[in-house]
Amino acid sequence: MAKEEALVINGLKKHFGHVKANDGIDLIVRAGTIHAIVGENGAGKSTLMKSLFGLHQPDSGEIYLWGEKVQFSSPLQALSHGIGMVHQHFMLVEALSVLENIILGAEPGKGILLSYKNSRKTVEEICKKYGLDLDLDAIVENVPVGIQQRLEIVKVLYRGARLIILDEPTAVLTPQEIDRMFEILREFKKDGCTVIFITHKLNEVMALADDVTVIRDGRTVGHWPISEVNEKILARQMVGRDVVLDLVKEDAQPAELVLQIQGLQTEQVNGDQKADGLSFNIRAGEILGIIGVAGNGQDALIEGILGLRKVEKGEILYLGEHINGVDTSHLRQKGVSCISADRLKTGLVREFNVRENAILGYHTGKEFVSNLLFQNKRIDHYANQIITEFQIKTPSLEAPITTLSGGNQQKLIIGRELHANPKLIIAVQPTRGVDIGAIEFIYQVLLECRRQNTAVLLVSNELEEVLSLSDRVAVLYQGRFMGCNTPDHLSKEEIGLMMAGVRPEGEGGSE
Amino acid sequence: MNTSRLKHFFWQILPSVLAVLSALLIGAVIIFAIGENPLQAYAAMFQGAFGDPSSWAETLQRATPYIFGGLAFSIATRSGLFNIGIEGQMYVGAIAGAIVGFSIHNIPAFLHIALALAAAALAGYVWAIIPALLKVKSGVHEVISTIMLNYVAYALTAYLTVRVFHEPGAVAQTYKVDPSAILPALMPPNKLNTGFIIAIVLAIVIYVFLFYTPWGYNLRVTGLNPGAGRYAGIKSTRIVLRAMLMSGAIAGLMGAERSLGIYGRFINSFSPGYGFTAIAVSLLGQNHPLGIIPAAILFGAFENGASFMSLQVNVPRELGLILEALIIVFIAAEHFFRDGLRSMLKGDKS
Repeated sequence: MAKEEALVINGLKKHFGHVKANDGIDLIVRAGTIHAIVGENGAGKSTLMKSLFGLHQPDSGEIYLWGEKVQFSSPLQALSHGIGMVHQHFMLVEALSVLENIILGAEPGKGILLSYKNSRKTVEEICKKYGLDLDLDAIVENVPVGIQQRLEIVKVLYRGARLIILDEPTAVLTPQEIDRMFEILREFKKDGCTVIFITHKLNEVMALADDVTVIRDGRTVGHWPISEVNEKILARQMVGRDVVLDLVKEDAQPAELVLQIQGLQTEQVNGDQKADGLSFNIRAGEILGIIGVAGNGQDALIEGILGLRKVEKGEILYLGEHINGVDTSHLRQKGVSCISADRLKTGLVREFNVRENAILGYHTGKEFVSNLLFQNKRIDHYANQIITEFQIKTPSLEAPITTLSGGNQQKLIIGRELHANPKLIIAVQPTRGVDIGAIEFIYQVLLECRRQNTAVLLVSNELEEVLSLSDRVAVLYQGRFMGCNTPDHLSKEEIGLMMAGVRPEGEGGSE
Repeated sequence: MNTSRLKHFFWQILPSVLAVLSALLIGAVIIFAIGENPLQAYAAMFQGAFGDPSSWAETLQRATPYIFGGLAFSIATRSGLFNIGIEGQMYVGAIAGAIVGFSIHNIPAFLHIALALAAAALAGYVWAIIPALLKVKSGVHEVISTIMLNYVAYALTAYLTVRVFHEPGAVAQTYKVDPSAILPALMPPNKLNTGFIIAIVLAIVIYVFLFYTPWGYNLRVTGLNPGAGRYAGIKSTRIVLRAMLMSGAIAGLMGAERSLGIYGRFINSFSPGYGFTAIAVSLLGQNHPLGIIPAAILFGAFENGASFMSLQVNVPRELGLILEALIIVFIAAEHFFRDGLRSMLKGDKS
């Protein structure tokens, strides 16, 4: 079995107009192995998987599954051939129970009546076999993200998949959950299942995979047994050049207090986690990293500081001044900048071009407006300056922002937010969804800010990022800090436990 | 830089051009079905709309309320509002202008006109305050509130016309306005009046406002991505409120152009639905102040040209309305035109 090839893809091409999403992909996946596919955003990983799963029809190329040539025209066909896919964004019906979600679309039973009994038994067997703990009667919307993902996996197994594709599965998990997931995947392997694991996190590839295939610009760059590569080699293959992610970080020179927060408690907005008594300080020239699983009060904290959410209790002092309830636009003028979490939701206007997006939030400034009108020459000059300084690749200032890659969009936001020489930068997930080259650049920029005596509040759920950039790390869980310390005094395990709400013994925290 | 601008322009107007061409094509099928030659009919229509200066005048006269109305709609839409209450705001504006027109006497014409227009704009503004506040304070959807206020406006103006300012006679109309309040005609005997010039100037002013000032920028950001606006420090409620009020004021002017420029009084139920057709005009003009002008002229031309055509060939004048309706249908399918065609031609990048 192990020597057989589960999946072979030869010269797969898929073009969309001028865009060559896949331009010659070769892939060989040995049966009963875990195969990692890595590549930067936009390298063509998703398109490849969509072609395999019957969501796209490839222009040319061949797909062999278990030695048989196949061409799926719908996901249903792929499913019936034993391919299962766990998408990056879960496809669940929140109002239904776990069991109902699992059998959805493959309901057993005669006629119009469902037979839950049999399916429950089957599902229970699957869970037992792989040690997957699931409360089948819980309603999905009440279930944490990690469990929802487990549900998705069981769903795939229930349909009898022997080749399981996971698209960026670890993005929403705590370190412990990730370890648990790896164990489960290894169980699958033992059982003869084949796993394809799509990711851009190289440490995960090294920890888990048997083989790895690197994709760049829609082409297969190469594939190797994991023993023949390391993270450095893979990074170089992904980007096409050497990448330096080892950061040169001098000792911090914390100066005056920039932000002091005392017992911050925000208003409850919808179902969002509120900040529930947060206290911390940031000094000039210092990076405070806040880590936590998404949805633990990050938004409330940031919006509370920025004056976008009502503060019910507590004090926020910026350069010694009370800023509770001060207008966002006023704060921006006073040197508070924000790189917001979601580029296209809160950072940019999708329909605007590069120039228009380059001034968002600073568009009322005197340097851009005189006699009530925009001074387009000055704006152009400024925008070009950002483009050069931050190495943004764009066809022109007139180009719609959506024609830029994620990394370039992010660099434009960062350029914009840093241009006014802020005293405080709130950087939320600054490297989310950008390629390695841009990550490297963004890290350098944040460290440069620190050198220039700017206070940086880094909010992220990328553990490596927070640990390598921050001078102090605070772990956020359900709107409170579980602990705060320098990175050297915190192990990944400790942080992982705190992210899951377990307070380590003997840890005082900063509350 | 220029090519990218041109490209942008091309993609921007493509859906509108295709909507018009599709409407003309289906119109041609209809003409053919009633046994006439489509080319001949369209030629007659074109001649009727643009054949000589007086037909131009009539086309522009008919286009004028659509320019005003399109601008009113577009400014609300750009801020993320759907103002379907232009008709009602127009009615109260029309009667307010007329009331000032016949109630004040013996003042210079320019002052009288200015006062009457100001009253009309104010009336439309006031009429828009209600849905604007309801929206901002308690989240009432503006489509519901403005539709309801349309009916209130019909009833209110009918009451004022029949009970308060009724000119004796069988027609439900108010007194005539003083000559000093009449918007001067541009090409008599056609009723095309200075209101057209005002509309064009207004379009240019709004264009500059939207695309060259920070306030217009705020308004567009609020309409396109309030989330990004929020983080940029733009107060969306304030912007939305102001946009609705501006929209109402422009709709008020739209009414005054009719009462002061065309009828010389307020006539009950004078509008054949200008305020609603204006929505289609605005959409056809891609909610762009300068796009609305040609779109409005096109609609004016359909209506004007169709009457001339019905005299030349055996095709009823209602064809003009059919073409307008078809354009509305195709514009409503804009998402197909824009996104569907773009991905068909250029490829889906996902």
